[in-house]
Amino acid sequence: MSETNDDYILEVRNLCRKFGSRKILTDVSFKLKRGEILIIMGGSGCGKSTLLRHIIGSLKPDSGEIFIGGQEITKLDDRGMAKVRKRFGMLFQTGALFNSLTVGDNVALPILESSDVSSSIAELVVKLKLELVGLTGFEHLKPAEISGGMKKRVGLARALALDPELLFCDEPTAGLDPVMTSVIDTLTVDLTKKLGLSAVVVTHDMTSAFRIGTQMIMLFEGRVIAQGTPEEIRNNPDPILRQFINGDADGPIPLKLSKDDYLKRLMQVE
Amino acid sequence: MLFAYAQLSLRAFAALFAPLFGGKRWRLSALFTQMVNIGVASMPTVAMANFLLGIVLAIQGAGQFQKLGATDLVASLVAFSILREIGPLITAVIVIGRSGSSITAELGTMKVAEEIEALNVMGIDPVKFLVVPRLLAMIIMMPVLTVLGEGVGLFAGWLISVTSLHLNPIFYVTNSIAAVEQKDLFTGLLKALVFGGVVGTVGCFYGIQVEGGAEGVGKATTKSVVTSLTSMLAADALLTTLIYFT
Amino acid sequence: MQITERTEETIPIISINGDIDLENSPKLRDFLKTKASQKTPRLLLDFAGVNYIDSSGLATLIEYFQSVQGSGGKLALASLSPRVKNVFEIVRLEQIFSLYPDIPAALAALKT
Repeated sequence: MSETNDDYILEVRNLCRKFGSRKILTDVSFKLKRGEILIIMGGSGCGKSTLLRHIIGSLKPDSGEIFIGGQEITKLDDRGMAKVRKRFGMLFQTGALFNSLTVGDNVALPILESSDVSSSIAELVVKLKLELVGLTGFEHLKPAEISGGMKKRVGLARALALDPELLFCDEPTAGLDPVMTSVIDTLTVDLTKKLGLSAVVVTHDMTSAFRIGTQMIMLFEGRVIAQGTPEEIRNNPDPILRQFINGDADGPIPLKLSKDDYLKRLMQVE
Repeated sequence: MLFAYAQLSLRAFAALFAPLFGGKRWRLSALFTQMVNIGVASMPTVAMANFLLGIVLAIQGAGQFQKLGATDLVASLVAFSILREIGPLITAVIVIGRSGSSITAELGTMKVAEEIEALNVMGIDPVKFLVVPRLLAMIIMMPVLTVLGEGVGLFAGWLISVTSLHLNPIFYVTNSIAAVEQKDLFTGLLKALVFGGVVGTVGCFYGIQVEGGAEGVGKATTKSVVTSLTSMLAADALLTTLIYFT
Repeated sequence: MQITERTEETIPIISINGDIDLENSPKLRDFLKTKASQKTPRLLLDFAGVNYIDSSGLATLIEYFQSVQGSGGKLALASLSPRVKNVFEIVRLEQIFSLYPDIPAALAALKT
């Protein structure tokens, strides 16, 4: 790991992954400095969720390397991975709360499971984290009793429970109203500015992406087609990128089937 | 498939026994919840099934023994079959249908909702956190339920013999006691213990394996019940043979 | 993490050296619990040697604060690095705890 600089909290090198014969990720490389927010953009099925799953160690790549805080993780065993995982938090798309536990116990879980702190301390930490996401007083409710957006915020509180160095968010603002989106965005920026947290955010919410991102990459068919600061991305002439950012219906991004194909298949007699 | 099952079972049993060798202790509250879910909630059904089978055994036995003029033997038939075979077997069938399936469905739903992945990401081992309490509860509760079921089954046999077959209530009891050995009781309990292990590991295995949304949960639950039933019967045959020859 | 204690003008000054994280906060908690049970009326925590405090550290301080509040105990924190101060501010705890730039300022405040 000769050149892995300590300034970089995350580095992905030449990551490749196939499912069967389908190439999901092809030669993906990028770096993230401490205290920055990296946005991973791309349409549905472009491989961004698969990329995230490789970075958190749920999937192993066919080739390539991933460094978290200078440590290569693709060859780690479960025990080694568990150690690295204590340094990062992850917000899942739907929150992934445990339905049998209350909101408070969900947030307390990583604290109680990974350390010897007493339950009264964990309870106080839960209160601090719930306040961060604007859910003070919701400790005793079960996940089934709160809305989808609230579940997501509890998920964020849980991801932050152990004060991670690195935060992963899978579509953090999908399903949130504009006000709450703004609250979550401000919180993410605050945490990075004040506490030195780094974040990787997978999103296709362009408003939010440009509001919080300090680095952005655009994935298309498993490849990184553009990479840079929000300013550079905004000025990038790549037609695919332009179409994605502007949300145009017409452009180089193919729909699943072309119109002719659709008519041909519709009229085909089996 | 079989390899993956063996791997999970080994990991689960290793984690289960770890506290005995100075590992992190069991999560008692989770264990207690599962014991209530699996055990206490199954009690009425287990009792009813065994009660009905006790009646069936006594009446069918009486029909055959009457021809030989040996209705008294009903007592030993009921006692012997309930303790050795019917009690553990029918209890396991009920537990598979009620609790084995619910373990698979519950873990499968958690898998689909990314909850198991979330545990992994938090550095919490899902085997220790989810599988061990369920497996341990299964292993503890299966013999307990079996003893309960056997008691009810024996009572049902006695009740029907005394009321409908006009057997002497005291004689029936002494006949029963004379017919069975301690070995019969232990055989039944050993079977229950093994069934608990089988049902617990199979239920958890299919749950954790689930893929493909709500449909996947349904499919896995069906597979889990079928596999539990066949493995339980296979274990039964194996144990019966082993015990017969020792 | 190391905890050392000295007394200046009848006020105990506790110097903490090292990170207050999940691993170390139970040690600080034990220390503060003894202080609370002794009904220490005034306490000064010197944070000059603290580079990092996590949420469990904050929770430990909150717990102490709660336990001495009833008996009118006073707590002052001195010499927090900007980074540590940020941890307090992000959860608005600077409004509850008395934070002072240095020990003399904290001592002066505790004496009033």
